[in-house]
Amino acid sequence: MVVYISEAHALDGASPNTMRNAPLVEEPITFEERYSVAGTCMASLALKRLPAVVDGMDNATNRNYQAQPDRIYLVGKDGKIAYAGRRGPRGFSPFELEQAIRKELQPAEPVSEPPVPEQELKN
Amino acid sequence: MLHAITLSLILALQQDAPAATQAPTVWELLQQKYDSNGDFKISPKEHGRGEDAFANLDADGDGFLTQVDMEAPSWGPGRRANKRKKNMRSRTVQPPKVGTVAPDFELRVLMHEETKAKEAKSSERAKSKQQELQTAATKKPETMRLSSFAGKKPVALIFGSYT
Repeated sequence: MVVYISEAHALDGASPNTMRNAPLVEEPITFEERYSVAGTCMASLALKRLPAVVDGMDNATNRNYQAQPDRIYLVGKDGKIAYAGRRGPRGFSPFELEQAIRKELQPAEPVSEPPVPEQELKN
Repeated sequence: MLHAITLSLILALQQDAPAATQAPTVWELLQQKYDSNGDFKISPKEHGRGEDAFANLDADGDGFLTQVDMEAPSWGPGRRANKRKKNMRSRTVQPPKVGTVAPDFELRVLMHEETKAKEAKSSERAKSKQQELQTAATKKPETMRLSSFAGKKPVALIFGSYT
């Protein structure tokens, strides 16, 4: 699930992206604007196959997960954090996520019976 | 940041594509949107997007946005101050660790244009105009709660933005 959060390099933000070809996006100031930019983002980057949600303007989810500018987590079936990626962009590792998913989906090892003491076997 | 992931792919595709119309510059975009009196400068009132955003763009700090601000180095005094503030704020909360309960959230689901169009079409077929209006007035936007997946399946959370 993609969680769209506030812009990392908005043109009117504290760290603008000055690269050529970078999209010219202002930091949304209303939820409607944020929702609209999120839609453009998912469409432009061909990510529409992934489910996506949009963080509220209080940025609570972003803050709780310290997600800015980007970060990956895997939440296990038990509702606990199974993998916590490092802060992006350097710590943004889809490879690590793949490993974590494989581990999470592995069937649980069968619980082995405790070995029967030798004396009991003789009896 | 999600932009960075697919940038190389987009660039590769663009090499084969016919020449597209040139994208506007930052100044062209701002002037078109905010220079309501056409005097080639934008006042804070015309801009109307808050003090921080204005200070970030006003590289020479003269209280107006002009083409010169966009040609000047992007790190004007306002932007430097706001960057410091942002860094201070981001250090106050620790990220959740492995093995701890994932902080819950309930957020609005992003509906893609195709889905919206499909829903509108089916709603057109199925309901009368009055019924449709009533439904639209009472229908809540669809949300997703993280904890609703607990006990059912794991969830990968990919946080990011366009830039």
